[in-house]
Amino acid sequence: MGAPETRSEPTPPLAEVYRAHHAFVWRSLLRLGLPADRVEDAVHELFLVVARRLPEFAGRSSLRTWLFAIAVRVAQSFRRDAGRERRHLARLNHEPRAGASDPYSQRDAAVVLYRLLARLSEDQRVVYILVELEGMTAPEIAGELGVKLPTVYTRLRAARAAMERAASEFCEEPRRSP
Amino acid sequence: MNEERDVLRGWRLEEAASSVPPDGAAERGWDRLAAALAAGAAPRADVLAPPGRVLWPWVVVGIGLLAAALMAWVVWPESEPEPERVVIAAPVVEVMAEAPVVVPLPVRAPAPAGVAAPVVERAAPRVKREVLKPAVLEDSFAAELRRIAAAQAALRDGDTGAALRVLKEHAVLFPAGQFAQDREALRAVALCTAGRAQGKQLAAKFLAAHPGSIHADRVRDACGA
Repeated sequence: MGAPETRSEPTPPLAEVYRAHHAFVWRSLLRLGLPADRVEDAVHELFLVVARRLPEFAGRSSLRTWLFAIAVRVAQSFRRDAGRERRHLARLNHEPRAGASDPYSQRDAAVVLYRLLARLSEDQRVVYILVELEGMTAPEIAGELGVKLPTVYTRLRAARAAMERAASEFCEEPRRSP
Repeated sequence: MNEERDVLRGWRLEEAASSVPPDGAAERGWDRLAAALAAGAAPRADVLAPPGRVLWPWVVVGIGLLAAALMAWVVWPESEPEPERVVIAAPVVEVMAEAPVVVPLPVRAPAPAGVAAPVVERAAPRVKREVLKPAVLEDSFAAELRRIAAAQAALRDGDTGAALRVLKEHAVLFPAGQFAQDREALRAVALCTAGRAQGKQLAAKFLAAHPGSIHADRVRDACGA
Protein backbone atom coordinates (compact mmCIF):
# COMPACT_ATOMS: atom_id res chain seq x y z
CA MET A 1 0.00 0.00 0.00
CA GLY A 2 2.97 2.29 -0.10
CA ALA A 3 2.51 3.87 -3.49
CA PRO A 4 -0.56 5.95 -4.17
CA GLU A 5 -3.11 4.31 -6.41
CA THR A 6 -3.86 5.87 -9.74
CA ARG A 7 -7.25 6.71 -11.18
CA SER A 8 -6.93 3.89 -13.72
CA GLU A 9 -6.97 1.20 -11.02
CA PRO A 10 -10.38 -0.31 -10.33
CA THR A 11 -11.92 0.36 -6.94
CA PRO A 12 -11.48 -2.73 -4.73
CA PRO A 13 -14.66 -4.33 -3.41
CA LEU A 14 -15.77 -3.56 0.12
CA ALA A 15 -15.00 -7.06 1.39
CA GLU A 16 -11.43 -6.80 0.17
CA VAL A 17 -10.96 -3.38 1.74
CA TYR A 18 -12.39 -4.67 5.01
CA ARG A 19 -10.10 -7.69 5.11
CA ALA A 20 -6.98 -5.75 4.19
CA HIS A 21 -7.53 -2.72 6.42
CA HIS A 22 -9.57 -3.78 9.43
CA ALA A 23 -6.53 -3.90 11.73
CA PHE A 24 -5.28 -0.57 10.37
CA VAL A 25 -8.50 1.31 11.06
CA TRP A 26 -8.75 -0.37 14.48
CA ARG A 27 -5.38 0.90 15.65
CA SER A 28 -5.91 4.27 13.94
CA LEU A 29 -9.08 4.87 15.96
CA LEU A 30 -7.23 3.97 19.16
CA ARG A 31 -4.47 6.40 18.27
CA LEU A 32 -7.02 9.10 17.50
CA GLY A 33 -8.08 8.93 21.11
CA LEU A 34 -11.06 6.59 21.23
CA PRO A 35 -11.30 4.41 24.33
CA ALA A 36 -10.81 0.73 23.50
CA ASP A 37 -14.37 -0.16 24.45
CA ARG A 38 -15.73 2.18 21.75
CA VAL A 39 -13.42 1.13 18.95
CA GLU A 40 -15.51 -1.80 17.72
CA ASP A 41 -18.54 0.46 17.25
CA ALA A 42 -16.39 3.11 15.60
CA VAL A 43 -14.93 0.58 13.16
CA HIS A 44 -18.47 -0.48 12.26
CA GLU A 45 -19.47 3.13 11.66
CA LEU A 46 -16.37 3.73 9.57
CA PHE A 47 -17.09 0.82 7.25
CA LEU A 48 -20.70 1.93 6.85
CA VAL A 49 -19.25 5.16 5.43
CA VAL A 50 -16.78 3.21 3.30
CA ALA A 51 -19.63 1.11 1.87
CA ARG A 52 -21.33 4.30 0.72
CA ARG A 53 -18.25 6.17 -0.43
CA LEU A 54 -16.04 3.48 -1.94
CA PRO A 55 -17.34 3.96 -5.51
CA GLU A 56 -16.26 7.60 -5.19
CA PHE A 57 -12.72 6.81 -4.04
CA ALA A 58 -10.76 8.97 -6.42
CA GLY A 59 -7.34 7.39 -6.06
CA ARG A 60 -5.76 10.76 -5.37
CA SER A 61 -3.76 9.09 -2.62
CA SER A 62 -3.46 5.67 -1.05
CA LEU A 63 -6.55 3.86 0.14
CA ARG A 64 -5.09 3.88 3.65
CA THR A 65 -4.91 7.67 3.85
CA TRP A 66 -8.46 7.86 2.50
CA LEU A 67 -9.60 5.45 5.21
CA PHE A 68 -7.66 7.40 7.80
CA ALA A 69 -9.43 10.61 6.77
CA ILE A 70 -12.75 8.85 7.44
CA ALA A 71 -11.37 7.55 10.76
CA VAL A 72 -10.63 11.14 11.81
CA ARG A 73 -14.26 12.11 11.18
CA VAL A 74 -15.59 9.05 12.99
CA ALA A 75 -13.31 9.69 15.97
CA GLN A 76 -14.47 13.32 16.13
CA SER A 77 -18.09 12.20 16.05
CA PHE A 78 -17.58 9.64 18.82
CA ARG A 79 -15.67 12.16 20.93
CA ARG A 80 -18.58 14.58 20.58
CA ASP A 81 -20.88 11.81 21.81
CA ALA A 82 -18.58 11.10 24.74
CA GLY A 83 -18.50 14.80 25.60
CA ARG A 84 -22.29 14.97 25.61
CA GLU A 85 -22.44 11.85 27.77
CA ARG A 86 -19.92 13.27 30.24
CA ARG A 87 -21.86 16.53 30.51
CA HIS A 88 -25.07 14.59 31.02
CA LEU A 89 -23.52 12.43 33.75
CA ALA A 90 -21.92 15.47 35.36
CA ARG A 91 -25.37 17.04 35.64
CA LEU A 92 -26.48 13.90 37.44
CA ASN A 93 -23.31 13.85 39.60
CA HIS A 94 -22.20 10.54 38.11
CA GLU A 95 -18.92 11.50 36.50
CA PRO A 96 -17.26 8.23 35.45
CA ARG A 97 -13.60 7.64 36.25
CA ALA A 98 -11.66 8.10 33.01
CA GLY A 99 -10.42 4.86 31.53
CA ALA A 100 -11.85 2.78 34.33
CA SER A 101 -13.12 0.10 31.97
CA ASP A 102 -10.35 0.42 29.42
CA PRO A 103 -9.00 -3.07 28.74
CA TYR A 104 -5.84 -1.48 27.38
CA SER A 105 -4.95 0.16 30.70
CA GLN A 106 -2.39 -2.57 31.37
CA ARG A 107 -0.52 -1.79 28.20
CA ASP A 108 1.56 0.99 29.62
CA ALA A 109 3.49 2.04 26.53
CA ALA A 110 0.39 2.27 24.37
CA VAL A 111 -1.56 4.12 27.06
CA VAL A 112 1.25 6.62 27.58
CA LEU A 113 1.61 7.15 23.85
CA TYR A 114 -2.14 7.76 23.42
CA ARG A 115 -2.06 10.19 26.34
CA LEU A 116 0.73 12.15 24.71
CA LEU A 117 -0.98 12.06 21.31
CA ALA A 118 -4.11 13.46 22.93
CA ARG A 119 -2.11 16.57 23.88
CA LEU A 120 -1.39 17.41 20.23
CA SER A 121 -3.71 19.48 18.10
CA GLU A 122 -5.87 17.44 15.71
CA ASP A 123 -3.82 18.50 12.67
CA GLN A 124 -0.52 17.62 14.29
CA ARG A 125 -1.83 14.32 15.67
CA VAL A 126 -3.02 13.19 12.24
CA VAL A 127 0.33 13.89 10.58
CA TYR A 128 2.32 12.36 13.44
CA ILE A 129 0.30 9.13 13.40
CA LEU A 130 0.52 8.72 9.64
CA VAL A 131 4.24 9.46 9.37
CA GLU A 132 5.72 8.19 12.64
CA LEU A 133 3.40 5.30 13.39
CA GLU A 134 2.27 4.21 9.94
CA GLY A 135 5.38 5.10 7.94
CA MET A 136 3.52 7.04 5.25
CA THR A 137 5.18 9.75 3.21
CA ALA A 138 4.42 13.45 3.40
CA PRO A 139 3.32 13.73 -0.28
CA GLU A 140 0.93 10.81 0.22
CA ILE A 141 -0.63 12.56 3.22
CA ALA A 142 -0.78 15.98 1.57
CA GLY A 143 -2.69 14.48 -1.37
CA GLU A 144 -5.51 13.09 0.70
CA LEU A 145 -5.72 15.78 3.39
CA GLY A 146 -5.84 18.47 0.74
CA VAL A 147 -3.03 20.51 2.30
CA LYS A 148 0.23 21.72 0.80
CA LEU A 149 3.38 19.67 1.25
CA PRO A 150 5.22 22.34 3.31
CA THR A 151 2.20 22.42 5.65
CA VAL A 152 2.56 18.69 6.28
CA TYR A 153 6.25 19.14 7.10
CA THR A 154 5.52 22.09 9.38
CA ARG A 155 2.89 20.13 11.28
CA LEU A 156 5.21 17.13 11.51
CA ARG A 157 8.07 19.21 12.94
CA ALA A 158 5.75 20.81 15.48
CA ALA A 159 4.25 17.43 16.41
CA ARG A 160 7.64 15.81 16.88
CA ALA A 161 8.84 18.66 19.07
CA ALA A 162 5.65 18.57 21.14
CA MET A 163 5.86 14.79 21.57
CA GLU A 164 9.50 15.01 22.66
CA ARG A 165 8.63 17.75 25.16
CA ALA A 166 5.72 15.69 26.45
CA ALA A 167 7.90 12.58 26.72
CA SER A 168 10.49 14.56 28.64
CA GLU A 169 7.87 15.91 31.06
CA PHE A 170 6.40 12.45 31.46
CA CYS A 171 9.78 10.89 32.27
CA GLU A 172 10.43 13.58 34.87
CA GLU A 173 7.17 12.88 36.67
CA PRO A 174 7.53 10.57 39.66
CA ARG A 175 6.64 7.00 38.72
CA ARG A 176 3.06 6.28 39.60
CA SER A 177 1.85 2.88 40.57
CA PRO A 178 -0.25 1.25 37.78
CA MET B 1 16.42 15.44 23.13
CA ASN B 2 18.03 12.20 21.91
CA GLU B 3 16.97 10.45 25.09
CA GLU B 4 13.33 11.49 24.57
CA ARG B 5 13.50 10.30 20.95
CA ASP B 6 14.72 6.90 22.10
CA VAL B 7 11.99 6.70 24.73
CA LEU B 8 9.35 7.64 22.16
CA ARG B 9 10.71 5.10 19.68
CA GLY B 10 10.45 2.42 22.35
CA TRP B 11 6.86 3.35 23.15
CA ARG B 12 5.98 3.37 19.46
CA LEU B 13 7.38 -0.13 19.00
CA GLU B 14 5.54 -1.46 22.04
CA GLU B 15 2.33 0.24 20.97
CA ALA B 16 2.59 -1.20 17.46
CA ALA B 17 2.84 -4.69 18.92
CA SER B 18 -0.10 -4.25 21.31
CA SER B 19 -2.65 -2.24 19.31
CA VAL B 20 -4.21 -5.15 17.45
CA PRO B 21 -7.90 -6.08 17.31
CA PRO B 22 -8.94 -8.85 19.73
CA ASP B 23 -9.39 -12.36 18.34
CA GLY B 24 -12.60 -12.69 16.33
CA ALA B 25 -13.19 -8.94 16.13
CA ALA B 26 -12.75 -8.82 12.35
CA GLU B 27 -15.17 -11.66 11.67
CA ARG B 28 -17.69 -10.39 14.22
CA GLY B 29 -17.46 -6.92 12.72
CA TRP B 30 -17.97 -8.20 9.18
CA ASP B 31 -21.09 -10.14 10.16
CA ARG B 32 -22.44 -7.05 11.88
CA LEU B 33 -21.60 -4.82 8.91
CA ALA B 34 -23.17 -7.20 6.39
CA ALA B 35 -26.34 -7.41 8.47
CA ALA B 36 -26.48 -3.63 8.90
CA LEU B 37 -26.00 -2.96 5.20
CA ALA B 38 -28.55 -5.59 4.28
CA ALA B 39 -31.00 -3.84 6.60
CA GLY B 40 -30.26 -0.54 4.89
CA ALA B 41 -28.41 1.05 7.81
CA ALA B 42 -27.00 4.49 7.11
CA PRO B 43 -23.87 5.97 8.64
CA ARG B 44 -24.00 9.02 10.87
CA ALA B 45 -24.67 12.16 8.88
CA ASP B 46 -21.74 14.03 10.43
CA VAL B 47 -19.18 11.51 9.15
CA LEU B 48 -20.69 10.91 5.73
CA ALA B 49 -19.22 13.91 3.91
CA PRO B 50 -16.55 12.85 1.41
CA PRO B 51 -13.25 12.41 3.28
CA GLY B 52 -10.36 14.60 2.33
CA ARG B 53 -12.56 16.97 0.41
CA VAL B 54 -12.79 20.53 1.55
CA LEU B 55 -16.41 21.58 1.22
CA TRP B 56 -16.08 25.28 1.94
CA PRO B 57 -15.09 26.20 -1.65
CA TRP B 58 -18.41 24.75 -2.81
CA VAL B 59 -20.21 26.75 -0.18
CA VAL B 60 -18.37 29.89 -1.35
CA VAL B 61 -19.27 29.11 -4.97
CA GLY B 62 -22.90 28.58 -3.95
CA ILE B 63 -23.00 31.85 -2.03
CA GLY B 64 -21.33 33.61 -4.96
CA LEU B 65 -23.89 32.27 -7.41
CA LEU B 66 -26.69 33.22 -5.06
CA ALA B 67 -25.30 36.73 -4.73
CA ALA B 68 -24.92 36.98 -8.52
CA ALA B 69 -28.50 35.83 -8.94
CA LEU B 70 -29.74 38.42 -6.45
CA MET B 71 -27.73 41.17 -8.17
CA ALA B 72 -29.09 40.14 -11.55
CA TRP B 73 -32.62 40.13 -10.13
CA VAL B 74 -32.12 43.65 -8.79
CA VAL B 75 -30.43 45.03 -11.92
CA TRP B 76 -32.24 43.24 -14.73
CA PRO B 77 -35.76 44.11 -15.86
CA GLU B 78 -38.57 41.89 -14.59
CA SER B 79 -39.19 40.37 -18.03
CA GLU B 80 -35.91 38.36 -17.83
CA PRO B 81 -36.70 34.88 -16.41
CA GLU B 82 -33.13 33.41 -16.31
CA PRO B 83 -31.89 34.80 -12.95
CA GLU B 84 -34.58 32.88 -11.05
CA ARG B 85 -33.34 29.63 -12.57
CA VAL B 86 -29.79 30.35 -11.38
CA VAL B 87 -31.00 30.40 -7.77
CA ILE B 88 -31.20 26.56 -7.84
CA ALA B 89 -27.41 26.56 -7.38
CA ALA B 90 -27.84 26.88 -3.60
CA PRO B 91 -29.70 23.56 -3.02
CA VAL B 92 -27.11 21.84 -5.22
CA VAL B 93 -24.42 22.72 -2.67
CA GLU B 94 -26.54 21.16 0.07
CA VAL B 95 -26.87 17.97 -1.95
CA MET B 96 -23.10 17.69 -2.37
CA ALA B 97 -22.53 18.03 1.34
CA GLU B 98 -25.13 15.55 2.53
CA ALA B 99 -26.20 13.05 -0.14
CA PRO B 100 -24.58 9.61 -0.03
CA VAL B 101 -24.00 9.55 -3.77
CA VAL B 102 -22.65 12.69 -5.35
CA VAL B 103 -24.20 13.16 -8.74
CA PRO B 104 -22.50 15.90 -10.70
CA LEU B 105 -24.84 18.52 -12.04
CA PRO B 106 -24.64 18.54 -15.84
CA VAL B 107 -23.03 21.73 -17.04
CA ARG B 108 -24.59 23.25 -20.11
CA ALA B 109 -23.86 26.29 -22.19
CA PRO B 110 -26.29 29.16 -21.54
CA ALA B 111 -29.19 29.09 -23.94
CA PRO B 112 -30.23 32.11 -25.95
CA ALA B 113 -32.91 34.24 -24.33
CA GLY B 114 -36.40 32.91 -24.77
CA VAL B 115 -35.48 29.23 -25.37
CA ALA B 116 -34.26 28.37 -21.87
CA ALA B 117 -37.30 26.27 -20.91
CA PRO B 118 -37.22 23.85 -23.90
CA VAL B 119 -33.48 23.24 -23.39
CA VAL B 120 -34.03 22.28 -19.75
CA GLU B 121 -36.80 19.89 -20.74
CA ARG B 122 -34.63 18.17 -23.33
CA ALA B 123 -31.83 17.78 -20.76
CA ALA B 124 -33.99 15.84 -18.29
CA PRO B 125 -33.47 12.31 -19.71
CA ARG B 126 -29.66 12.77 -19.60
CA VAL B 127 -29.76 13.71 -15.91
CA LYS B 128 -31.82 10.60 -15.20
CA ARG B 129 -29.28 8.35 -16.88
CA GLU B 130 -26.42 9.75 -14.78
CA VAL B 131 -28.39 9.24 -11.59
CA LEU B 132 -29.32 5.68 -12.47
CA LYS B 133 -25.77 4.44 -12.89
CA PRO B 134 -24.69 4.45 -9.19
CA ALA B 135 -28.18 3.41 -8.10
CA VAL B 136 -27.91 0.22 -10.16
CA LEU B 137 -24.52 -0.51 -8.61
CA GLU B 138 -25.93 -0.03 -5.13
CA ASP B 139 -28.83 -2.33 -5.91
CA SER B 140 -26.57 -5.21 -6.92
CA PHE B 141 -24.45 -4.62 -3.83
CA ALA B 142 -27.50 -4.63 -1.60
CA ALA B 143 -28.91 -7.68 -3.38
CA GLU B 144 -25.70 -9.60 -2.73
CA LEU B 145 -25.68 -8.55 0.89
CA ARG B 146 -29.26 -9.59 1.43
CA ARG B 147 -28.46 -13.11 0.27
CA ILE B 148 -25.28 -13.43 2.32
CA ALA B 149 -27.06 -12.10 5.41
CA ALA B 150 -29.97 -14.51 4.78
CA ALA B 151 -27.52 -17.43 4.52
CA GLN B 152 -25.85 -16.35 7.78
CA ALA B 153 -29.21 -16.15 9.51
CA ALA B 154 -30.26 -19.59 8.20
CA LEU B 155 -26.99 -21.07 9.46
CA ARG B 156 -27.52 -19.47 12.87
CA ASP B 157 -30.97 -21.08 12.94
CA GLY B 158 -29.46 -24.45 11.98
CA ASP B 159 -31.31 -24.51 8.65
CA THR B 160 -28.45 -25.62 6.40
CA GLY B 161 -30.81 -26.43 3.52
CA ALA B 162 -32.10 -22.87 3.38
CA ALA B 163 -28.57 -21.49 3.68
CA LEU B 164 -27.36 -23.63 0.76
CA ARG B 165 -30.32 -22.60 -1.38
CA VAL B 166 -29.62 -18.89 -0.86
CA LEU B 167 -25.91 -19.38 -1.45
CA LYS B 168 -26.61 -21.23 -4.71
CA GLU B 169 -28.83 -18.36 -5.77
CA HIS B 170 -26.00 -15.94 -4.97
CA ALA B 171 -23.55 -18.06 -7.00
CA VAL B 172 -25.86 -18.02 -10.02
CA LEU B 173 -26.62 -14.31 -9.86
CA PHE B 174 -23.18 -13.07 -8.76
CA PRO B 175 -20.56 -15.68 -9.70
CA ALA B 176 -17.71 -13.19 -9.21
CA GLY B 177 -19.56 -10.91 -6.77
CA GLN B 178 -18.10 -8.85 -3.97
CA PHE B 179 -19.02 -11.53 -1.48
CA ALA B 180 -17.85 -14.55 -3.46
CA GLN B 181 -15.29 -15.42 -0.79
CA ASP B 182 -17.89 -15.18 1.96
CA ARG B 183 -20.21 -17.36 -0.07
CA GLU B 184 -17.61 -20.12 -0.49
CA ALA B 185 -16.79 -20.05 3.23
CA LEU B 186 -20.46 -20.21 4.22
CA ARG B 187 -21.08 -23.01 1.72
CA ALA B 188 -18.30 -25.09 3.23
CA VAL B 189 -19.63 -24.40 6.74
CA ALA B 190 -23.20 -25.29 5.72
CA LEU B 191 -22.18 -28.54 4.02
CA CYS B 192 -19.96 -29.60 6.93
CA THR B 193 -22.69 -28.74 9.43
CA ALA B 194 -25.10 -30.87 7.39
CA GLY B 195 -22.58 -33.71 7.57
CA ARG B 196 -21.98 -33.88 3.83
CA ALA B 197 -18.59 -35.11 2.62
CA GLN B 198 -18.38 -32.41 -0.02
CA GLY B 199 -18.01 -29.87 2.80
CA LYS B 200 -14.54 -31.05 3.76
CA GLN B 201 -13.36 -30.88 0.16
CA LEU B 202 -14.71 -27.36 -0.18
CA ALA B 203 -13.16 -26.35 3.14
CA ALA B 204 -9.74 -27.64 2.08
CA LYS B 205 -10.04 -25.80 -1.22
CA PHE B 206 -11.16 -22.61 0.51
CA LEU B 207 -8.40 -22.69 3.12
CA ALA B 208 -5.77 -23.36 0.46
CA ALA B 209 -6.99 -20.40 -1.58
CA HIS B 210 -7.60 -18.04 1.36
CA PRO B 211 -5.43 -19.07 4.31
CA GLY B 212 -5.64 -15.60 5.87
CA SER B 213 -9.38 -15.14 5.39
CA ILE B 214 -11.39 -13.80 8.29
CA HIS B 215 -13.60 -16.88 7.78
CA ALA B 216 -10.71 -19.35 8.01
CA ASP B 217 -11.21 -20.15 11.71
CA ARG B 218 -14.94 -20.62 11.26
CA VAL B 219 -14.41 -22.99 8.32
CA ARG B 220 -11.79 -24.95 10.30
CA ASP B 221 -14.11 -25.19 13.31
CA ALA B 222 -17.06 -26.41 11.25
CA CYS B 223 -15.15 -28.82 9.04
CA GLY B 224 -12.33 -29.93 11.32
CA ALA B 225 -9.89 -29.02 8.58
